[in-house]
Amino acid sequence: MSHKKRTRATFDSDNAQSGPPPHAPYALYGTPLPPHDEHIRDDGSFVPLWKQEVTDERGRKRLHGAFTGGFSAGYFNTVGSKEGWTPSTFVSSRKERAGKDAGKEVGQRVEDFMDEEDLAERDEAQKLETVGGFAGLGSGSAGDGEKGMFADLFRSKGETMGIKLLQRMGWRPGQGVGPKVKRKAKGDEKGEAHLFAPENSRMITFQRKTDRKGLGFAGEGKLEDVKSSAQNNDDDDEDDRDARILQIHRSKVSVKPAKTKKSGFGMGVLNDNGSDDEDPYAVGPQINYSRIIGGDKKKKKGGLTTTNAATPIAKPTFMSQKLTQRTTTSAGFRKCHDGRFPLDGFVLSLAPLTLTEENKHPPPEVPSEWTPSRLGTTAPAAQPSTFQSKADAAKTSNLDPKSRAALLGEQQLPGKSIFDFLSPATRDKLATATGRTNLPAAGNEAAPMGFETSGAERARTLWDLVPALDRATAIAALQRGSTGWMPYAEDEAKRDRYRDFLELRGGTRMDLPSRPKAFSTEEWVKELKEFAQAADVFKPISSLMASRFTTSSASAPKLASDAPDQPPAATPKEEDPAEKAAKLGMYGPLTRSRQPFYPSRLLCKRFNVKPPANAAAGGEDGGEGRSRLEVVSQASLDRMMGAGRWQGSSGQADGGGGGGSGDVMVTSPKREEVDVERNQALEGRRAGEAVFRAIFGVDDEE
Amino acid sequence: MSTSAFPSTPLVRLTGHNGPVHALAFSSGSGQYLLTGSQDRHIRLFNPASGKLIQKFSAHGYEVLDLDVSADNARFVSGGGDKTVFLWDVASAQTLRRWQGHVGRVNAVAFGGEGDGVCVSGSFDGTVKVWDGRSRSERAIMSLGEARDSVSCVAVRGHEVFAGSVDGKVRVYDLGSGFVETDVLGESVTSVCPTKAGDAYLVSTLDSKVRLMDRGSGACLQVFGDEGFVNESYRVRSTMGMADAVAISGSEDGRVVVWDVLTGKVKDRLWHKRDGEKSKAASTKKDAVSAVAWNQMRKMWASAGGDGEAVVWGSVD
Repeated sequence: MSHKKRTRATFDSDNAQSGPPPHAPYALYGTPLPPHDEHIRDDGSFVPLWKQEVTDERGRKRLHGAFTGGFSAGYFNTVGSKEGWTPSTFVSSRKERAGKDAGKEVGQRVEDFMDEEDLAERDEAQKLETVGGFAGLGSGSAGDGEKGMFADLFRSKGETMGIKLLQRMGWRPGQGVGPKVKRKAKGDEKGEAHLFAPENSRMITFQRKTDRKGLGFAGEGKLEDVKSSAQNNDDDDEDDRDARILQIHRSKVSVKPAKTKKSGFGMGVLNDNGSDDEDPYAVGPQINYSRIIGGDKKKKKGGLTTTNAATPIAKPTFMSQKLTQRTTTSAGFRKCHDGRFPLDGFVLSLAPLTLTEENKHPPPEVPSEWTPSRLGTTAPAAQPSTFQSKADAAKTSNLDPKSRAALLGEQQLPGKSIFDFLSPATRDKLATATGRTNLPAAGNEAAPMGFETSGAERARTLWDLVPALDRATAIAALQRGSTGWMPYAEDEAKRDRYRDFLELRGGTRMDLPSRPKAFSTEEWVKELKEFAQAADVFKPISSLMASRFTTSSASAPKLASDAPDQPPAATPKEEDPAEKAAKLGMYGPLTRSRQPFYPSRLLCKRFNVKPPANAAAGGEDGGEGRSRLEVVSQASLDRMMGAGRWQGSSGQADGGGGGGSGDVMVTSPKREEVDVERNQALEGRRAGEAVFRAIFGVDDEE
Repeated sequence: MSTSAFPSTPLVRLTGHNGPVHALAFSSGSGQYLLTGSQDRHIRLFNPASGKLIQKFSAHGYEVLDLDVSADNARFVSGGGDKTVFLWDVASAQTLRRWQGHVGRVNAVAFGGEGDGVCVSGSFDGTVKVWDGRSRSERAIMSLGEARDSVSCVAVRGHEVFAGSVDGKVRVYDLGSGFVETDVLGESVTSVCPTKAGDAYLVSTLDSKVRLMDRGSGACLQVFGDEGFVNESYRVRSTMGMADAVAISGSEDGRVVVWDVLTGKVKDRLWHKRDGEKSKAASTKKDAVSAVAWNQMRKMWASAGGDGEAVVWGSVD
């Protein structure tokens, strides 16, 4: 830390010199101290380690007390120093209080006590916000309304160029733009007409519709509103609308929705503002029909001034006869109780409005001997109801379509029913199945011309009944039969049929297995299915799997009178022939085998060899991932998997055969021409058992 | 006559290793130098002519089991018990690459490919991995896992990679055709060495026999054996010499046996062991001559033994 890092240039120049510098000839390795010069003051860059103090770029001491062995409570290694433990940035404010020179840099600031982490945290907490003026229109704040017409002018801080230009041309904010208007000054009725600037046009605003009421709907308190607006029109004190000068052009003014009463009919308890004059049960429109022009200022807001309800009953007071005098005018018209006249065109009635007890419209008189016709007789019904529903009628009918058609007078259709073609047995089956005995009789007719099934077709459908069996399985089962044991030993005919079925499936025969006379088609099909299953079961297992199992002496499933089975030969290991040959010293085709191994393209590139056709598509991944930590190679695993599927569905039993034949196929060019697809031994005439045993040696071929 | 005589004079005995010498490699071309790798984790570079030790390479954490030198003599590759394949720079004596990927000890290494750009390594885990010396990749280009047991020896000839395994088979991976040809030997294979022409290869097996197999058909062209020649327990390797006219193999009893390829008869029996002729003690593992290397240019060859010494043989004339 004390020795500043040399620049590249100095390093190079130093390096360019050969040997140590002249002022330090002993320094063969490393860099010597700079040459001693009395004129250059020692700047303290070569102090010993124990004198070096660690400071950061702001001069604060780093390496707190734990490094120097003292506890300093965060006061930056000032323990034991001249400053003591007063913060270095402390300035006494006894004489000069802070605030007097608030803008001065001197003094304690928060930043003095914050290190990089704190500063970073503070910077992080700072957020960028839009200045209020730039926040945009319709921010939803209440200030929008307050600014009113000036909102559109002073949207942004400062004046726009347009405003500046207008002002140069004599416009003042608040005025309209256009030719001057000759009118009287506002509020001045008698004054002369002067030229005034036109009114400022109002920006058309659109009130956003947030409710789902109809257009123009003004709420349930609409009447209240009309009344209050009628009342308060002249009263601008309570209104926070625009300035008075705008009222004249009220049509252009878009009425802000006044405070609508949120409540519906009547008022709730919560709306109670303590005014007892309100009657919550007042029914009817709260229309204030009495208007006071320039009347008393004390208005009851939202109050009711007339009620239709009965006025509170006053204590009956004696009223002299002079009441009529008091209450009638000179013209003989009556006045209301409080002395006011009724409305124009109305006359107070003389007679009170009362309900009479009399029934002015009594019901008609009923004759004495009249009996209602609706009353039923009390005598019980004599005869039972002969009513029959449609369903019951349909059930009891014994008509068939033909007789019905005759009844209806319809013409018979020329078609035949299917029952004409069915045999009686089938028809009986249908009848028992459906439970209906009224099926038409079966006419055992032959199919019409052109619809008969030919003999070939009949045979084909028979073919479809024969169960499927894998060719390999069939061949294997046959082989086993040839060398070992065949099922159905007790029934020679059955065994022959089994063998025929296997041969058919193996490909040596082309015709259907024969059906014994006693068998019906179904039984024959059942027997064939049994044969297929038996072939699956009794197919010999491949060597790989066989090597994992040893057969017991009674391994073969025995039928009741089955002949004792020959003990199967021990299944050899897969490599046995090669190993045996190698042990014998017969190295050659028996010991040589060839498989593909899919070199990667990169590998071929490195060897400057054209990648063969079976080069692996993937690079190292394929090679690495595939064969890492393999105890058994992939190829043999595949072989085992293929061979091990002998118990699986019959459609996939080719795996074993395929794997095995793959090997055989590849090496076949080396040997004599062996065509794998055709096996002469099986497809040709079957040779004797001895030949088989001699060639194959054991049961299985794989 | 001297041209057909086998060089059987021990020229110099190179000592210094503290354990059995498992690996031997002459430098390419003129074969002026000899590299030895030993159980003591060091690799030594000798000048056989002077017998001096020139350089010592130390980086392995476990024994060094095989060595191979690149064609330009600038790099060599080594593998051993630490499951890592080291690619060394001869001049700086530092490792250029350390390829990890094997999960068992590395039994055999060999250069291959164009300009010796790849290193092939066979390991106890049964895989043969091919490492790329050109790219900076840490992963093997390819891993060949056909062997069912430890791979004891690898060799590269052209575009064919030979791998002999303890499962008794020699697999030849032909990169041109994409096929691997497996030859069943019957006994665990300890060494495989293809001929210069590539039409045959010499294979040592643990039944104390050395065979020359035909590459094309897999037939055995020649079987070499000797009554004193033992290869039953340790990895004893063989090589071909004198332009593929002789087969040289070490033996577990301290000897080196030389056969003539055409006739199959023993040409020479040489004692690598110090005072081998005189000692009557039973052979221990310290006697086994595990590696032999042939240098065609100078008609020299070397044998490395369990006694920690490498003997350089030549002919004095």
